[in-house]
Amino acid sequence: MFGHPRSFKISLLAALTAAVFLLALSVGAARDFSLPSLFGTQGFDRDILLDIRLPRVLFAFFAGAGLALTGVIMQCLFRNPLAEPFLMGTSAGAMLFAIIAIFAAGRLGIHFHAGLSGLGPALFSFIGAALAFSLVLHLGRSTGGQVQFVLLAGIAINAIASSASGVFIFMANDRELRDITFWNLGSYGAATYPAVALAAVVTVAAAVVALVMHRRLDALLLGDLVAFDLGVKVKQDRRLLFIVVVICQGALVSLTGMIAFIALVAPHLARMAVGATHRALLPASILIGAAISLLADTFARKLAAPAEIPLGVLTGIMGAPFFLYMLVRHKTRSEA
Amino acid sequence: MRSRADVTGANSLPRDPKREVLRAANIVHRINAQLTLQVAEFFLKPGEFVAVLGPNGAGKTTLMNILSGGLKPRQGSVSLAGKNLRDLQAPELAARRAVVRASSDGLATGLTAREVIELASLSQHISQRLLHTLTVAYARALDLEARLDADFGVLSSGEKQRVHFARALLQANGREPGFLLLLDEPFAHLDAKHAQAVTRELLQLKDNGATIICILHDINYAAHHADRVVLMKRAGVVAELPAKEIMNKALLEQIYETPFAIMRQGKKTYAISTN
Repeated sequence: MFGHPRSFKISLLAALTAAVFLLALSVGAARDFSLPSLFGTQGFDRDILLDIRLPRVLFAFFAGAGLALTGVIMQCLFRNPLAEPFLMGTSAGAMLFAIIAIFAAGRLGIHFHAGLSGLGPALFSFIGAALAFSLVLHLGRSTGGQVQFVLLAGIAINAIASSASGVFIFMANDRELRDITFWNLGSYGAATYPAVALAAVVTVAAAVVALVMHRRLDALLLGDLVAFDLGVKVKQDRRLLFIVVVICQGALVSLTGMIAFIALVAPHLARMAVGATHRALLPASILIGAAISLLADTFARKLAAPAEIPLGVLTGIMGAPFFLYMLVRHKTRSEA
Repeated sequence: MRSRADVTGANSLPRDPKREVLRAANIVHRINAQLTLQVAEFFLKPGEFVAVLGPNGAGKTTLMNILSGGLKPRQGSVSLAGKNLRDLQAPELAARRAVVRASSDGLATGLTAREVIELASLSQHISQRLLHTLTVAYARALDLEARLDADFGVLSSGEKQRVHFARALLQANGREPGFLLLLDEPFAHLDAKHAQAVTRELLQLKDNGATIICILHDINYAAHHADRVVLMKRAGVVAELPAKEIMNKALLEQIYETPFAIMRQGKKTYAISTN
């Protein structure tokens, strides 16, 4: 399909994302590199680039791509443009369990480094994310399985998990509070090569599954019954896709904390650019999610250097107005 | 459809299960608190066009959902080409039947009309080029060519219905004779001209050996185009007769509980609600 305007647009997005990747690699708190010098650094510069900057940038790439990817799949499975980890309780569940881990560790005399480089909370929050997501699905199913019930269940679980988190925050001491706040606001500070590898594995695996199923995802957009008529094993495919989303989203959220709106915004921008068919939507969303993530993280590192602005704050500031815009647009559209 | 199936007369009833495209037996399924669908026997023969008629709430769509495999009945069994529906996976079903549902147009998808039609190839091995050619051909036949690249969500109800019909035609393309087409009120949103276009395609498909079951509210259409009519009321089949015999004032008044007049115009007979 070369020469097709869609593949041209995706190539353009790929070039754009590559450019943002290089920008993110060259700009940082310690020093900025010019583009040509990126590939010829030596000594201390080389250490900064390879040991600190590169894993961070790679992590931003995969986390953004993975979050956007799960956003696309969720919006398809719920046939709702507003489905994302925040609304589905995934993030709140991950947060609650991370806070419990931080809190319990504090009481037991174990201290994690700021930014949660320890795997303990990540593991806990992964369990929290998976639990919350499964609970939401289960509740949604027992109320008839209709999309709006699942979303309402998500909002309720979100509220419960947030309130429970509040109780722990209320009881926490200063040090724990700092850890919790850091987690709550989201950061790629945990970006070590093992974390990069984990993010890469879950994102690439999820992307492969989704791309293989791209036509079935299209069919699911038409409703479960029509998809079934067309030859889609609806129950089986939905279950597989939910598992993919839980693992990918749970792993990423547990490593990054609460990164707002990438999962929501990237698929929408991609849809505007290349349309809704998943063969184009999936790669476009992955690229846009990665670009947003890289850009936001570059700002987070650079704007107040050497301090770091919490990433979730930046994506929230950028994403929330967009979310409102989508709500208004969605409303006026459905009234038309 | 590589060869033509021999057309069996609508009246002769050889109840040999191997000769039937579809057979449902002893179906019992709760529709709601008041109604339970009960159908002792339902069958379709190859190349037959069967219309299902009846008042609102008679259980027509529920029966269609069960026959299409989309709804598992609480009791009873349905077999398609001699195989139990329970043993057929979605892809195998899609190779043997296509469905146009009455309420499948409500979702804003973001897909284009072309993309919706082309999804019919999910159950086929078909080249990209042939898929494209067929899509355009069916779109042209149904007066959709200019709308192919429009967002499916912004199409009118009639256009959406024709898109789904084109999709079903594509799904039926190149299948064995005995392919089954299940249609739930396919003319509900269509004007006379487009209804005619759909009818033309439907009869062509039937000529090529496909079997058609169609829920209708247009008694005259059923009488003129169908081979056999199944009348439903209060969640059960109340009568089953050759299509021409539907032009019966007493029968229609009993089914629909409203006065009818039977009129003759040339060679054709029409039933008109005189309420």
